[in-house]
Amino acid sequence: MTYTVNDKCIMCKHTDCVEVCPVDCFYEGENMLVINPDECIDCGVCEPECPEDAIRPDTDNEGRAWLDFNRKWSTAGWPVLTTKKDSLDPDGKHRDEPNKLEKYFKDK
Amino acid sequence: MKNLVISVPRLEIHRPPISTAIVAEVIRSTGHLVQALDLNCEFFHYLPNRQSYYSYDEIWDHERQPTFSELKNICKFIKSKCLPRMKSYDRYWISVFGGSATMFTELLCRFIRKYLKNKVIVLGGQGVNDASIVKKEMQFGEAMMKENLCDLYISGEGEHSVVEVLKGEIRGPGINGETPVQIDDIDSLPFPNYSFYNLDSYDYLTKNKEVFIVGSRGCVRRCTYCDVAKYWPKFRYRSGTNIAQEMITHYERHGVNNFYFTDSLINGSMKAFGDMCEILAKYNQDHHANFSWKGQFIFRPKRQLPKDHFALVSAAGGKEFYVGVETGSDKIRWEMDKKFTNEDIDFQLEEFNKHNINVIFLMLIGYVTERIDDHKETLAMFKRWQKYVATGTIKGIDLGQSLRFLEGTPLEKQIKQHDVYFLRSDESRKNYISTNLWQSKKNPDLDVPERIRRRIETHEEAIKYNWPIWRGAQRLNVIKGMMEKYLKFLQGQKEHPKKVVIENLNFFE
Repeated sequence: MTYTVNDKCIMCKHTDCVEVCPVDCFYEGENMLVINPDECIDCGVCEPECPEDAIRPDTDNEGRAWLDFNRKWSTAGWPVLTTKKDSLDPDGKHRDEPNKLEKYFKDK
Repeated sequence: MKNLVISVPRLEIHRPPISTAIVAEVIRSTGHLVQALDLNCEFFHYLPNRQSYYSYDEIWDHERQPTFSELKNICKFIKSKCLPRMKSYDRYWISVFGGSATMFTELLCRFIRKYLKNKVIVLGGQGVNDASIVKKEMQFGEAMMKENLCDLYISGEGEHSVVEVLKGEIRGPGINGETPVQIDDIDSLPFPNYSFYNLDSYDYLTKNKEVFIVGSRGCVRRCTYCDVAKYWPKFRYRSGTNIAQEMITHYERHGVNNFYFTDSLINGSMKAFGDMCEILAKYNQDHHANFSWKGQFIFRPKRQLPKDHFALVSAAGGKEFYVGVETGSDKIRWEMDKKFTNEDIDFQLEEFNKHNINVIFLMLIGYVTERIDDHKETLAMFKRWQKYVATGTIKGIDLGQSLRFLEGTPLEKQIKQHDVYFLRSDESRKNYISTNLWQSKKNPDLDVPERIRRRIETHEEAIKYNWPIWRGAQRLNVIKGMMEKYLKFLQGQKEHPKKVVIENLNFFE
């Protein structure tokens, strides 16, 4: 079991989640975060921290659908993020915007 | 060099000591001769009965001086029962578990120095960092060194430091006051070895033998009032396989199938917890081991729980969980950073009920932001979950102490935010913040008398709905008496309570 980050994080990246992660398993891309599923201990502490509801357990379908994506990008050389940074979207302009993956995702 | 690992009063007597079972095994596994001696257990059997044993607690806790006859008895015990069993060893590793072990340790070391020549004394355990009894400005370990009552002292996690000392090192992390380093890979540490003890000599709570087990160090959560992170900044955990393997080892070696987890949370890492449960459930099925274990547990949002989770926990032997419910108010629980709701509790109580798992509620009445409506929600909790009291699923409730702003907690950092001031400065503590006599200007209705009133009202409500509460009505009367005394005191004061130095009114302490 693990938690995964989905496309609601893209262009928002509030990073509240990284501060509470006890095992530092968040990796930072240019405009989103992902979780390394093998490092995540499934403590569940990060999930309620996300104001975009972008973190889900893989026990539900939505969380499971992002498992491979999280595994791929967390092992692709993105750096670990352990402290909170300024949000990319403090005014909530990108909140609930559809198709963020197709529109904005960057593989760096 | 022959090593003797020693535990001293006061430890609990219901299970063998785990720390010395680990240290002894670390020494053995590096090829040294070692034996262990539990002087706490020896003292228990030396005294005529349980009552006599517990009567010394106030002495160990530094609440009173021993009488002449008690002191004589302790000295006689050391001289006639301890020293003869210690004299054939060369190096003593004394585990000072906490402040309540410092007095005996000091006496024991004085006797060793006087009667057993050329022995090496190494102290370790949390108690070495406690304030010294004699030299208050020093920590216990340092003071003992200064008095030549020990040769070395180890602070922090001892597993690696012990190995360094065995190699002849007298410097290094954790040794003689140097800052200790936390051990990252706790899976690599040896299991505690209980073969060093006579497991039949403990005062178990049931007919089954029970031992402590440590699955993790630190906590994944940061509940605002809790100071675990001060002592264990980083969360470290063992794999589920490793934990289960330890339990199976104790079962196969000693027939022990009851375990008490000392973890802050046994289900902090659901991954490790789930793996452990799977292995134990399978082992139970194949070997009829009848495992039974208990520990501190956290309720989770329902969506975070895998299907059939509690069936697996029960099959693995999960029997009794202590859960920090704290309040009946979702809002307050959220502000404590607990992150679960009454609905989540509903779901988990039902699951516990279905799978014969017992729960003990741990409560914290009078949180800094608690309003009267929040308190009413706490009172409503007793009716809401009374049916689980009736079925025996809720096995107890501990209403606990009133809130304190402990050093190193997230709440300590929020003192300004809540506009909190303190009603006394307490010379006997290192930090005045530890007192429960505080008030928040942002929540003026929740003054000290109101917190006491809410505590009493909660107690009465628990009794009304037959919740199993520690010493129930008897304890309630004690608290009521103290409240009366306190209110009389406050009424007699002309000055604002903020300026009053309140003595001997540690209501909840």
